[in-house]
Amino acid sequence: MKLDAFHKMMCYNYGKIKKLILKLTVKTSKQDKGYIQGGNNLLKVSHLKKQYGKVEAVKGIDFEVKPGEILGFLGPNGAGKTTTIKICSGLLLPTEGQVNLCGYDIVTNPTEAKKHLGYVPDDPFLYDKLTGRQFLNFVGEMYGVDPKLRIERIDYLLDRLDLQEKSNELIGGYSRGMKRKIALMAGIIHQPKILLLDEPTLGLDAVSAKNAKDIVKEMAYKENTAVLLTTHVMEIAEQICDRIAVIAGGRLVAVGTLEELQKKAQKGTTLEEVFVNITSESDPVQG
Amino acid sequence: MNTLKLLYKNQWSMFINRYFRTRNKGIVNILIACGILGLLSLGVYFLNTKVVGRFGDFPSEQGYAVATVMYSVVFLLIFAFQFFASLLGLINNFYQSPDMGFLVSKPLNSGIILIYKLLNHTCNTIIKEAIFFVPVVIALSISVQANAVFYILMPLIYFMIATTAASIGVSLGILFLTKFSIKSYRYFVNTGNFLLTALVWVFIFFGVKAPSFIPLEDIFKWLFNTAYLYLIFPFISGGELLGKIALGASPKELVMPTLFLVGVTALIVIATYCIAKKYFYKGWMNSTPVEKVKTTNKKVTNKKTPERNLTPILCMVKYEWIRACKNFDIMVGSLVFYALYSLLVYFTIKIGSRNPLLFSALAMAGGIFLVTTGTSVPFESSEITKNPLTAKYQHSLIKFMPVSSQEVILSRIIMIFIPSIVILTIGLTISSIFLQLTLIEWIVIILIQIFITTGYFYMSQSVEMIYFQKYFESNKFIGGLISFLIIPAYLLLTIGLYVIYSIELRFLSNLQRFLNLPLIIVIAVSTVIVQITYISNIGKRAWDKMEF
Repeated sequence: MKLDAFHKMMCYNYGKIKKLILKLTVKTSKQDKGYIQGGNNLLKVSHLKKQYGKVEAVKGIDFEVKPGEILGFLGPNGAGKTTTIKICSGLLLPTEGQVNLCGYDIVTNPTEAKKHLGYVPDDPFLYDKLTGRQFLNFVGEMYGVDPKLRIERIDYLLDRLDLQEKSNELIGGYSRGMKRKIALMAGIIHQPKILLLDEPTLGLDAVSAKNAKDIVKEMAYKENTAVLLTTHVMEIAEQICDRIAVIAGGRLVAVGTLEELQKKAQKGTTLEEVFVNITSESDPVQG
Repeated sequence: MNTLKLLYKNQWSMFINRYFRTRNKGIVNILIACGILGLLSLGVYFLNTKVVGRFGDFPSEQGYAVATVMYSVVFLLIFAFQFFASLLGLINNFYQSPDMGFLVSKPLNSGIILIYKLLNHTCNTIIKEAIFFVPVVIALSISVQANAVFYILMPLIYFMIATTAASIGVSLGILFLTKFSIKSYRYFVNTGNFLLTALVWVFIFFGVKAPSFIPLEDIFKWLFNTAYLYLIFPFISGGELLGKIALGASPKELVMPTLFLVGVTALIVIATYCIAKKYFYKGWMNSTPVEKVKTTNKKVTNKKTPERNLTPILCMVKYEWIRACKNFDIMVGSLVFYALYSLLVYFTIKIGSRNPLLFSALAMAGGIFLVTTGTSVPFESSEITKNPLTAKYQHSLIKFMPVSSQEVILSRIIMIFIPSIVILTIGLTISSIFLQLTLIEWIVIILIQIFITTGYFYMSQSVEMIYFQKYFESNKFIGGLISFLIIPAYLLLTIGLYVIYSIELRFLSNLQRFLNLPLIIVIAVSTVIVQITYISNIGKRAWDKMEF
């Protein structure tokens, strides 16, 4: 029994230590390469509002994501998560407020802003008459990824997500999970500085979901990418997010690390309990 | 039965929610329905006065006999259309219908689900085709001055004939899909449909007769000389039944066609149900994509590494072309438009020698519409047949990429423009050769065609972007009307004025007085320039404002 407990403790700490080492490495390299542009935040959302007719889906939210940080966006259904992420990606226009990607405003300078962005929607549109490999080449070429690097990166990602064998088949014949994998690969093929993920593990099997999570962590800690992800799976938020933003009724009700949220909620130890407490209170706090 | 009732109650709720959710929506939809009914009534009036009204001139019995034949011919057309519509819609209405998975996962009797889907499929195809055929059938009925019984039985007979055709289509489709994949089915049905349509056109316009080894005449003689055998075809028994009712025949005379119509319909529906019950789920299971377990570690790599990247515009054009070339599912749509363009060129050659330039202009106007529409079809996702919203949604992928609105619109223009202009140039060159135009005339009309087509593309792509704006999502009718009217308006201003000016028609003489060649050229050139400058700028802004 004691040995088992010791083993569990070691595994838990190993994960934390690995994360810390990765972060430290990144911090050093980040300073060396001068990654940061326009201040400390790659993604900055200010006073964001979105109205659909009379319905206000997002009611003025502020948050930012730093390089190498993974911000989890949690909230009940219809809270405004997807609307926010769609505005950040340029798929929706804000009614009020600003979204800055690497210092570029997504509304006034969309082309420059999008150069630094990778986006994986929850319901991605893929060209069903292209093969997986052709599609990834297309996306890579659109972002101007060097041909040699592109091929290497495609092979690497196809291997990581177990899709090498099917890569020369038409996407139209893929299962839902395979389509999700292709969408994820398309979102990160160009190694963006900012990565927006809407339910990234939805429809993936356990192994692929783990690989996807690992890839996201690598993107953040090795490549210094600022990651914003929405999820309904609390374990994912607990495992990979550095900070968590809770949105309810279009308002940001809490932002912070898991420990900070635990303190705010006063009761509850797991993220699930904290989330339920916070969203039921719905006390708007701007982060 | 209760399950079926519940399913239809659910469908009724969906119908109400879709069209009458709010008062305003309800009023708009009722007005649209009234508009459609008005158009149908106009259609009936036109057919009745201009086409079928002449039956009244015949002595009564002869008129009714002609009407019976007409009914049979119309029902034959309905039967054929219904049959193909059934085959074409089978995959979307049955195998890949969005609610199929949901229904199968519920504790419902599989037979009930099948009846529900069969009825839905039949009704869907009947409604789609009815808009074309109902005015014809009603116009015919008015022309024979039929009594009340006739009008009560007519929809019933119509429904029975349509159901029979749809059921045969379903049975054949289901049987095909037990052996072949959905992909093969689509190729087979689309190609078959296209070839048959082309064959009908060839028969009608070129007067081609059936090859001598097909003894068509003997088959017809045998059918009609063997007692009641011809009644085995529902469209003939239905036509005869209606003709006899209109004639006021005695009930005794109605027995045989009624027996055959009801009997054959019942037999076919029961057979379809049995076939569907036995084979449908097998085909459905086979058609559901399943992620295969990895068996080998075979590594698939690119054959060659390109040296450098293309520009975003060329990159989009390249991959859109690859995509379009593989889009066999809806390629048949293109072929239909190309076939129509071939016919247009053929008629231009045949009757255009009197005024070659005028007919070349007409071919140009028709050709620009037909060829560009045909070429743009494969660039649409095949998903569009299942979900019309895909037309807009497919742009969402490009929307979050780092490309400007200018690049998006230009790439869309180039990808359709190049193949279109090649086909249009071939068509116009062929007609020019046969119409014996001089080299200078040929060069001029080719250049004019390129110029006008360029403006057309700027306009159509920009209008498409504008159509995808939020406003038109809730005002589809207005959007559709604008998109529908803007094409003839453009063609009228660029080519139509020249046609009006050159054509020798008395009723146009008043209009012709206001026209002269310099004015026509100025209007045409200005129209094209307005599209390239002003309208395309609106299109670019529309892309920037487009939301998903």
